[in-house]
Amino acid sequence: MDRVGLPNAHITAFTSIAVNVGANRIVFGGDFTTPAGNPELPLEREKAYRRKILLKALDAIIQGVPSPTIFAFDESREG
Amino acid sequence: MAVLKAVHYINQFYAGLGGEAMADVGLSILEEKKGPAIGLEKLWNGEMEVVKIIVCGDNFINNEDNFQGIIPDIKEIINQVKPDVFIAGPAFNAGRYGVACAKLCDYIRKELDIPSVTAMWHENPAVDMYVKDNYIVSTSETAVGMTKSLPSLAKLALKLAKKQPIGPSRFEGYLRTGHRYNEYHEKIGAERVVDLLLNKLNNKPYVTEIPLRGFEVVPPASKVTELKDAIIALVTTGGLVPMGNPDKIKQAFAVNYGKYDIEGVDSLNKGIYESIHGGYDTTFATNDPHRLIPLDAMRTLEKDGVIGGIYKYFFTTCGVGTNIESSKDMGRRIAVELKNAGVSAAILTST
Repeated sequence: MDRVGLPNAHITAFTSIAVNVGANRIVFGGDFTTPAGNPELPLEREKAYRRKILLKALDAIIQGVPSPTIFAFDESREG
Repeated sequence: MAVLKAVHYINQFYAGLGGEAMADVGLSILEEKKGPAIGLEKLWNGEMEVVKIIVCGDNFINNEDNFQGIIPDIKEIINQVKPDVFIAGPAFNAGRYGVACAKLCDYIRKELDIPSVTAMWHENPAVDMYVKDNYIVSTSETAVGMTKSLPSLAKLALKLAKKQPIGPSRFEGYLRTGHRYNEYHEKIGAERVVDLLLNKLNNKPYVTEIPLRGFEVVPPASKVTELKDAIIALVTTGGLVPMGNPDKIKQAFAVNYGKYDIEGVDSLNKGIYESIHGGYDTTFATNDPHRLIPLDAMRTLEKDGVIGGIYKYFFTTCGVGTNIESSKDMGRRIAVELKNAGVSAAILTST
């Protein structure tokens, strides 16, 4: 995608792997099996949490980066 | 034993025809020894000789029509001479010469069944293109290192001509092809791994048996400037598919992806979509597919005017044990579709 000029945000809990394989905009996702969610939260709070992860991903694609960059989501997965 | 026969390929420069000004010259055959062949023969001590030298200009041969045009001639020469090995170069860091050498070696090995070998600097662009199936001996960056580079080329060429077994790259001097072969070892794996670890911890030299694969570096695409007008695509490697997996995407080692219509859809509900990924516990993802394709929250962001819209399909595959080449192929196809559809950016989730 980067090659054809499409900026992209990669949401994953495996940020080290994402860096290693060369994803350029990386967002730390909720969990290994639920990158865009957290099943431990009540539904509404999980939705709010998901919105925050996505806002972080959108924040990543409106920023220029020189190389693989992790956009830290500074939360204890609580939404 | 009869003297073994080699056919050697060189460019206009090594044939003494001239430099850049002669790069458009077509195919010719030299009967007398020129260029690196002289050095190679000395190293073979009479066991093998270069019986024919094929010469072509770098510009000429790198034109695909020209290349196809000279293939019948080359085939005829090879079938007539029946060499024990085909040698090209060394090309050092010369890009066009390197590609010509590797391409000819690849063709002659694959189509004419003659073992082949070339030699060049490890960063020559031809290496990435051809190293997987071809012997490319490592050389210095420039021809200043010719004398140092020829012995490994001569040795490997002779071994190939004699049809001797070829050992691992680190002993034979060719660039790593990535092929792995089984072999017997006096020590079992457990002992070898402990030896490796002890050497590593004690800062002693060690050589890994399974080198990590290097990944291609792709520079980041430039940022989106107007988010409120941007069309965003959603992609996952978490294996989310409509119930029953209609496109039969493989649960592991996937070679294809699915694309599913979400135009006018506000949420991806349990019971309509499921994750079929074979590499993690999919219970949470299947219970709420938004944990992989966050369509609900994206629709809200769309309504709030934060983004312009969401692309009408989401893309999905299973990222587990997935072959790099398959991944690249899928990525390329998805990227082209998104680009052609005027999508501005993508959000991908990985489990």
